[in-house]
Amino acid sequence: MPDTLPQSAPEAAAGDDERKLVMDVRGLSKRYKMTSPVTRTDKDGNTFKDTHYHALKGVSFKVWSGDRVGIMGHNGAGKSTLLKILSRVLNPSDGEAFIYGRATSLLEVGTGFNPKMTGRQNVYLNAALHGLTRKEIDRRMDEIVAFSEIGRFIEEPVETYSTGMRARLGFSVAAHLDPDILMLDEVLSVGDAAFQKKCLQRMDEITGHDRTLVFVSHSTGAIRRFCDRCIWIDHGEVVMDDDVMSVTEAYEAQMMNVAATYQAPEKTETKTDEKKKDAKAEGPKASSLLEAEAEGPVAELVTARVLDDAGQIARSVKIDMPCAIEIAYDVLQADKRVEPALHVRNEIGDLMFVVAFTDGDYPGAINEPGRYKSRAQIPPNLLNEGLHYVTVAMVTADPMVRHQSVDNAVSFSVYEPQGDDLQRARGRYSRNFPGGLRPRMDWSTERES
Amino acid sequence: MSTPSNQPVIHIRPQRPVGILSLPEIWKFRVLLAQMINRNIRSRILNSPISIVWGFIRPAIMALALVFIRNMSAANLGAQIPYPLFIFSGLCFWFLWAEMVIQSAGSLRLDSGISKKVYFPLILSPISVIAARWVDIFIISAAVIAFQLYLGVPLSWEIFAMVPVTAVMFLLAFGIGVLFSALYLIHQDNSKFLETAVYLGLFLSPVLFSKQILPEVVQTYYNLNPMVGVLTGLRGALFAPEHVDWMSLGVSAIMAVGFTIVGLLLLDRVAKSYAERV
Repeated sequence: MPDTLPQSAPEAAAGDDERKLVMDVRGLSKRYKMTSPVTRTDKDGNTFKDTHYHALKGVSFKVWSGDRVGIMGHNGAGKSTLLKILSRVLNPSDGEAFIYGRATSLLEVGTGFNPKMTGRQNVYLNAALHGLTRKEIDRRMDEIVAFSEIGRFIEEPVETYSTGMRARLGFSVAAHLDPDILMLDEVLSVGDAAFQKKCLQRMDEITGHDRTLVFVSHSTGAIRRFCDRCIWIDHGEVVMDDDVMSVTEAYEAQMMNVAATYQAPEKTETKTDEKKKDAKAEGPKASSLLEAEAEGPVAELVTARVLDDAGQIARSVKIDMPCAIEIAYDVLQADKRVEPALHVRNEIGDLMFVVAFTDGDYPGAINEPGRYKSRAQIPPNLLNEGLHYVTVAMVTADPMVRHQSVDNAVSFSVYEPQGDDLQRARGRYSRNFPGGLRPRMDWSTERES
Repeated sequence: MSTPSNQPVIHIRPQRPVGILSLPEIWKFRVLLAQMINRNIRSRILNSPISIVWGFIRPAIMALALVFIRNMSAANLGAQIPYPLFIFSGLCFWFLWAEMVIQSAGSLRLDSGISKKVYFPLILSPISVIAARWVDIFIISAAVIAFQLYLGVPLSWEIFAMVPVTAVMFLLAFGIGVLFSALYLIHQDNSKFLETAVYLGLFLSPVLFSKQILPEVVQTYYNLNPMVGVLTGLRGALFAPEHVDWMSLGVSAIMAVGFTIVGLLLLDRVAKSYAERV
């Protein structure tokens, strides 16, 4: 089967660098036997029956010390299979990989906790599972207990713990493993992004550059926050392996139809004048929200773009930086009081807000035909993390007539780079923020007694 | 690219050429092995505190019933020592051994929650189950010795034979346990077969009767039941009137090694696709 042959490892360009090779993955493949065969076609066009499911097809990459690699892909793309193989709980069908240094893989926290044993005894067992010696555990025990915030319950059997306490203890051990290479599955931290951050912050604390992170996730937001390099895996193959922004943007563009620019389709019709006359004969229609234009189009969107703070087209913008939606449109009829309006929706389609046209230079909206370009600046620290879709409408405000509406004309993702959390709306929280918006308010506090 | 030296290197590939019982690998995980043995001892005691004494309480209860039947029937079961002691010791060691076999056979499944999330040499699971039973052998031997002294059966210098005899007993349990842990992975129904075999073994081994009651010709072949050497060995080591049958024990030792090798080879084959099987 040609697609399972190990491909030669790509020559990494980091040879001039002093950094050490810590992970060398060469053509890893994983096949699962299936009960029902699938008919496939090979390169020469011959069909054959394949009774295997190919979860990974010759994945190769190299990781250097200090890399923070995100592995992303949608569900079933093979990223978890890859992590399991690198964690050695799953054997590859083909290919090989070398890992140099002390590697810890967290597919789950609190693995092997025994409910009858005390928290302390379970810390020994769990830490030993991750390769810590007894001395190392002894040395870290106080820190682990303090970090877990379990207190005196550490001497009680784990079966008396709440789910949260159990998780915290597991997290605490995980955060104190201090490996050279940490492999982390985002799934484990569902519901507790706090741990993710604490754990990754600890990695930063211990040493800045020698630690290596391999982080599996399907969320571009998390990958942008924690990684500087990203490997995109789809159908068991490496689609892209590059710096984090270019890969996550390409991923969003393809997987979630994120497009930072809109261009109106070319007009093929030139008979608009005739239509206009026909329509005029019928007289004005009752106003409806999406009015069938009686006199031909009143306004038409030509282009739309998302711009970052530097004025460049951007598919992703920083959460604490302003960005702008720039639209160009033709106003085709006079005295219609045309104005643009923006509807911003989030990833799951909830309407976040509607932006009215409030340009002081046009207090009576736009009455003269012509091509206009408007820019709406979105303030920093307003949107929450994630994807945003912008619908551009051309309307007359009162009485309300919607002349044109281009659904999801442009879209962009808001991400949060690492930085000063008090300057953005994050504050001291480490979890994901609920809600559609995440505005930063000006606080003032006085002590009154 | 040169390989960074003095660093642990993990080589991931489809076949692990070192095999399932790689001593360097076990040594690398010795801290975990110690913790797993510790866990097995603790969790058994914590789960049911009575299990500490259950190792000789259950045989005592059963022995009572069987002694009663034997006295009613006046059957000659060939014991050279008081029959209550004979049967009590037999049942004590038999049940210990049977539990070791059944638990080690099921250990891979029991630890699958761990081994699907964290890598460790799979063989640690049965090893830790067997090794955790060192506590029991002391408790049970103490109970048996107390009973024999109460009945006036003296100890002899042969008590030092307890060391090789229990070693064979543990290795035999380990070998059969590993073999069946591999068979369990192939098909779970194999557990039924093991349970039946162990149950039958109670009656086919010299637990309730001495092998002396068998015809001479049969006695030689009877040694092919590996528990014959172990049980006569245990009784020989503890009770002065009985003696360790070294020939019989040798056969048991060879069979224990044989089971272990076959079990490890089979487990090695099966373990490659372990995660998909559990």
